[in-house]
Amino acid sequence: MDRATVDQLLTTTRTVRKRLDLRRPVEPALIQECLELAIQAPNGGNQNRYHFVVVTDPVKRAAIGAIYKKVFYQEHAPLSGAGNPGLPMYQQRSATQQNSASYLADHLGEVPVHIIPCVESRFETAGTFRQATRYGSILPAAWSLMLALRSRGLGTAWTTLHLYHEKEVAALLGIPDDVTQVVHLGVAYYTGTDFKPGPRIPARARTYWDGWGQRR
Amino acid sequence: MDLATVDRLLTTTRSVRARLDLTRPVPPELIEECLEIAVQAPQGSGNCRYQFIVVTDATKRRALGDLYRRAFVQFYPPEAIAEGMQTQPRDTASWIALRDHFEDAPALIIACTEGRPENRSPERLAGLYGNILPIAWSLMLALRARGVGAAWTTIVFTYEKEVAGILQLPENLTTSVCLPVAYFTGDDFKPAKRVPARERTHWNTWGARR
Repeated sequence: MDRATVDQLLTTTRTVRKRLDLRRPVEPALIQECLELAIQAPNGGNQNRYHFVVVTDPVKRAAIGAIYKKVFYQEHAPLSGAGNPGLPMYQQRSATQQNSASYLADHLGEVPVHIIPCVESRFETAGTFRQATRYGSILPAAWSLMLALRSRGLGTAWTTLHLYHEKEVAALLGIPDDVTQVVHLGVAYYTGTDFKPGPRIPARARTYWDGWGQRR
Repeated sequence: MDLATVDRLLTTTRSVRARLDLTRPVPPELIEECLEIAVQAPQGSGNCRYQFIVVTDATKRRALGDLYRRAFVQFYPPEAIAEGMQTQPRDTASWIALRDHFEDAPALIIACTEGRPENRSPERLAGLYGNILPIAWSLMLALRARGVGAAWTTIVFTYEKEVAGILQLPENLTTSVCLPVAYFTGDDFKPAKRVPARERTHWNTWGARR
């Protein structure tokens, strides 16, 4: 397997917001092709509980966009980098990131394809084993979908804010009560040709060997 | 980007159980290299809440293997195994192989995220798991490209507290997946049997086909 291709794919598939081409249509067949690739990701017990709601209807996209905008500007209290306060790289990029995030909030309804990956059953009050198993039966497929789309020139914005109003979105799309939405993917062709890896805390600073706090 | 490579990577990276080479060591540097690649997966607000425990110590691997078997028998009691050997013999045999050799994998990698799931709204809960599970899947993809297989497992977390005790994990951490990793034997994998995505794709309204 060509390792350079794999590493480029895995390190430069980013959430795309300002580089989404909102005017260029996306062929439904291409979406379906990528979904067939995506479901090859592992899922718990091969129970195949995945579902994907693809929204191309402009009225429904606008409705989701309005919900997202309301959450983004009025309801969401961001953690403001609470995981890692004081890290220079976050302070430096916060303005750019905020700009990119608000751009998405202002334009989500115009993104040509919305995809909401879902998993059968509800488990918000279940223990961590069941939660990890259920999310683990859909989120790898969602990430594979984003990787497959990227390889075909399509960018994706990975967001969860619409889940503040999961029921409202479920009603809009007819999603049954016993199905859990896990993420919202806004999909469009991207402009430009390449992406760089994102700033991250190196994994080695977060890797422990044989027990918490132990370095190799 | 070479689509043939991408498609092969995404469709033939499988949970490997019976084809793990338990006799061949996996260099720690290779695991570290793959972890650096994996953390490039997207995460909410770039918060970098990932934490990884790599278990190579034989005693701790054995302790985790014992927990895995305790959990396994609850999910796959003997009668379920007997039935599975009739209805899906290959899968069942591979589950048994992992049950019997969980701790023999040269490394167990446990992907964790900072934060706890209790009392979270759906948005925060999806954020918690969404910050770590794409990374874990990227890790499996990166390992696979280097000849190393992994099995995606969660049942050991029915004994989450015991796992945390063995690894001295802090209380504010959530364990999300445990990957036994080893070089795989043979040189290729086939796509899995799945319900086709087109049967589970709803266009604009639940149940509507294109």
